[in-house]
Amino acid sequence: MEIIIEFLKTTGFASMTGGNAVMILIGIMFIALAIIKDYEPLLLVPIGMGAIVGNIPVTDGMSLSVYDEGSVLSFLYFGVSKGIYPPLIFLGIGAMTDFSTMLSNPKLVLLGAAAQIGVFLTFLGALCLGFTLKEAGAIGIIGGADGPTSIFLASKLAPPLLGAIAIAAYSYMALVPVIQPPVMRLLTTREERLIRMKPPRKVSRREKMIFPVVAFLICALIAPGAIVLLGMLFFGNLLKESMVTERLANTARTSMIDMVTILLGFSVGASTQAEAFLTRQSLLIFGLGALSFVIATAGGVLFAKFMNLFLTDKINPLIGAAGVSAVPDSARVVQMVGQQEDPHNFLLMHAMAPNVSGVIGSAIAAGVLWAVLTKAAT
Amino acid sequence: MNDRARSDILPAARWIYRGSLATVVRAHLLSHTTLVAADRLIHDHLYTHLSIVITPMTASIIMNAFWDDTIRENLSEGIQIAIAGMVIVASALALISLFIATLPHLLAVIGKFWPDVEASHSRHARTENLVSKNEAVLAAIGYVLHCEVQKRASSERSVD
Repeated sequence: MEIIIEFLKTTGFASMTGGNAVMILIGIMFIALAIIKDYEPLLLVPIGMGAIVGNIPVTDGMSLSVYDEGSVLSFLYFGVSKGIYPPLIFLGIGAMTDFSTMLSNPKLVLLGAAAQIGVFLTFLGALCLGFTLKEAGAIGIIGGADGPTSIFLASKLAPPLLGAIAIAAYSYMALVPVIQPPVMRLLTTREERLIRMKPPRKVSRREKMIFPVVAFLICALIAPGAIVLLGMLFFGNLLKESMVTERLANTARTSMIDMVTILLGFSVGASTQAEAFLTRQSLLIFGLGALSFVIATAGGVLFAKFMNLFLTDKINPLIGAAGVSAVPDSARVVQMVGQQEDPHNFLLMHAMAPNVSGVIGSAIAAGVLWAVLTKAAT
Repeated sequence: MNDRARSDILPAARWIYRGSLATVVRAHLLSHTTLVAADRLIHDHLYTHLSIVITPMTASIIMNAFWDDTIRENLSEGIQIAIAGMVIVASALALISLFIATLPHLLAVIGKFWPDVEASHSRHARTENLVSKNEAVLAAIGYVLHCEVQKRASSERSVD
């Protein structure tokens, strides 16, 4: 009898806290959102399941959680805490990405830069709320709407906030179809939303092959902190465009990115243990994260309107919203909002240009913040 | 009120008078002496024209109430980092944009000295097509032969 009582004390029921229950509910909610609403299922299902696993209370002495040295989960989490998974995901993204629309309309690259204002204003907002410079830098990058970049920078600048930042980044990325449309409609007139853009020109194979090498050199020489992420992104793209490494490109964009996504999503979810995650700081990070997405979207749209003041071939300002990276969801949102006004207006391919330049922009922003803040004392 | 203070106050006061609110950041940039003088000036001359005014002094009070020295130090450093960061990101992407814009022209020049890679790839693709066409023909011949052999075999069986 005594053994049974002792065993019951070690069960999850006995040591379950309110915080654990809340986090398990959040995990279930993520899974439900992914399955029912189809919000980023590839990310929310692993994160949701990870959150459930990470919040099952364990007995002292049993090495089980991501924070316990030597546990299986801690080895999986190693790729997150050391920033190994994000560059591998970037390799896969590079092997998937077609830069053709960007190469055919280079001025759209600037929209990706404009949307990065979300990163830097959120950084200032975090400082106003009392976060340290390093923490604020890691929080600010949520505005880049790029999960792997957020994880990478958080692992370098503010490891204790990694869980909250990763969850905020991925949650808001999943909520892009909810967050962006009201901002886009608010900042544009119907006439602007109806603008049809010229079809992109055909890009030669040679341009596509030269671009990743030279673009990497430009970015890396300006912001060396971004070499890991951008190196892998452009390497993946070179594998795709060179046409002689099709097998490697295929592996990078299918099995490899899938495996890394599973490991990253699950271990990030498992790191959201209630005692580490349910804090005032996490709430502030979530608030700042939502704000950063709004600012980034507004920045892109307003800059597109500004560009239209000088352009003869007007651009549809909606595509500015795709300057937040969130590939390809924000581009899809642009297409959706555009088609609500004019069902025959196809903005997706145009929106992919600021979308991929947003990926480059957020990686550069991360590199800059890492380089500058790594020396900061606080 | 000294000249320096006046020169600081007047543009600030004019700015507020045009209907804008004095921002916290602007107030932060003014010295304490100037803040007191500006506050008095705004109160004496402009208060009747504006229903709500966040004067530099009140802004300063708000800042002191909510932000300690560390936050203010971080914020001033953060503003510099944010501006520099935005400039760097914009410059990098502007350079990429310029490079992309010049790339077709560069390729046109290079193309004169260096044969187009696309041509060799298309040759490679054509060879692949040729091979696949040959394979298709071989498969068709094989199928016809197989059908013939089957037909003969069945006719032989029926004779037996």
